[in-house]
Amino acid sequence: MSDVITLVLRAPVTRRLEIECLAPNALAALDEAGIARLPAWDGPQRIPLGDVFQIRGGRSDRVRVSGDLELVDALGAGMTAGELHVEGSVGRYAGTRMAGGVLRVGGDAAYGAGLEMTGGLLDITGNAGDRLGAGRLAAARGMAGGEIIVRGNAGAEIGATMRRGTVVVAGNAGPRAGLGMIAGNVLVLGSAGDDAGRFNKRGSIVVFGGVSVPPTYRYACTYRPPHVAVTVGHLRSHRGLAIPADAQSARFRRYSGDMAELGRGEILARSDGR
Amino acid sequence: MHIRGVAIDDTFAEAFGMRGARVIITARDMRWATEAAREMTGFATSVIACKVEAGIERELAPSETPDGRPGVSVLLFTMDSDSLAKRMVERIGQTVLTCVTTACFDGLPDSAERMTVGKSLRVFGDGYQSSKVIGGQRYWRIPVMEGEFLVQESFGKVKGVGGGNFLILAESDAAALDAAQAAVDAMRGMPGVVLPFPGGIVRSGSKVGGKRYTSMIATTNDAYAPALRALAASSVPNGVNSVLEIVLDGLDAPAIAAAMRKGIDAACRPGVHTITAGNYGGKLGPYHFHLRKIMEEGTAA
Repeated sequence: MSDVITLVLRAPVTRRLEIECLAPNALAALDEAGIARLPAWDGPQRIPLGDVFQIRGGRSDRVRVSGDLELVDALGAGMTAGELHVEGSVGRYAGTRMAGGVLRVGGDAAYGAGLEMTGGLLDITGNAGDRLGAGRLAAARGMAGGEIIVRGNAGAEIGATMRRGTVVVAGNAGPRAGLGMIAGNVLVLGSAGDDAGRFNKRGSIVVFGGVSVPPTYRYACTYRPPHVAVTVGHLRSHRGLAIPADAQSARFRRYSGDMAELGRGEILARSDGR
Repeated sequence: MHIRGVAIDDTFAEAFGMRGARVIITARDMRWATEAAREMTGFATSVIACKVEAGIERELAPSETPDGRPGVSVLLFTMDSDSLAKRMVERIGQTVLTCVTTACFDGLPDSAERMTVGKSLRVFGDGYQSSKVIGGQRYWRIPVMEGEFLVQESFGKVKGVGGGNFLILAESDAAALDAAQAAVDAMRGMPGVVLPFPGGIVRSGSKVGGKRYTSMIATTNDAYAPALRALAASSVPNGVNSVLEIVLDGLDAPAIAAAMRKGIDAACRPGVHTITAGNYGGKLGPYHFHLRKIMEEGTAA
């Protein structure tokens, strides 16, 4: 048994690989050899994980992966516990369907990070691609629990069809944030792109920077939503996000919508001094 | 044992088990947090007739509260687990929800035993309420005319201790009150403890039951009523003309012992004859706070 299982790339990855087996909870039961036998996928071809990574340690639910993994998809998919720390950037679908534990990405995460996750924490130091915390295209629901933190910017359609959970983007978000949200929270500390909150049923979209509110939303009032203050406090104290303290007393314009749907959702657009 | 000339009786305060909760009330400023806290802890001196005992634990700086605003922490105690949740819902619903700018949070987040509070209060929203999960905790947003009231869905509860006490026997009513006030000032703000009586002081200490009125749950503590020294089996020493009691409820026994130590020490001042404590021969409760032991531990520390 070791404190941390470390995986180091044997050679640069030049073709897209899918490595869905790196769930810390699964690795916790395996020794070094067992981990090396786990499957990675090079297209339709199954290859042993040991061919991709040099593996040190075993029987731990703390896993550290180093190397350029931009072409490696599905890291941390389905994890339920433990901690997976990827030092650099990752490919598509990182943390998809994760239900627990902590997945830290030291660089960027491509398309579909946190797709349909139901629990745990996905913390991305860099930028995130499109469909962060969303559902698969045409899926009935996206993220249904847990927390995603993106310390950079995020792409289009973050939180699309999400049902529960929280997506936080410290920078800017692309267009159509919260598309078809059923419920849950999207919080953007920068600006949100066009068409935020389209077809939102009960979700909350909180934007500290600029946001253009769709015409299918109705203005309600300008006030200090108390849950935003608690969220900001949580992000400052537990997630280490450098949010100015005055954000906790910020006032927001509340728009209810999308009236094309239930109309029970909201866009909260910061109003004071902006 | 004497402290600055004041005798410390070789006796113990007898306390009993209660169920306790800590409520964090925040508001735009300390004025309104305190206002709500005072309302919430009103008419909550003794479970004998109030159903709950409550008090303000301390003021909280914005850095100590979940929403970054000034706050006040309140402790509530009941005799059983079920009634604690009922009292919480009643009191938060009537005194915090109604008070401008407030929000209400659980002050015992690590407690495994939970009771639903916000979940019960949410129905005031008449279907317009909504919930948010933040950091693993669910909060209810209840729309009100002012804006929104935010309350945590569940609150922790713990096995607490009620009825910690000591009596200040003084030469005059002024000396007794000065000593009691000094004790209260010394204990105020100590973690995990509240003094549920008005100003933290009790003038009407009681005994269990009644001699003449047998249906009474509690009647005057004639043994420590100086005016009855010639009539009752009195425990009031010569030269003592006024007795005041300090009652403490706490989240655990060490918190009560620490507060008693500080309070008794502060009460040992000119005009005070003796510090003693109320007990029922060990038959009432499992917690025994021996005065001399508590004060000796303080000296050793």
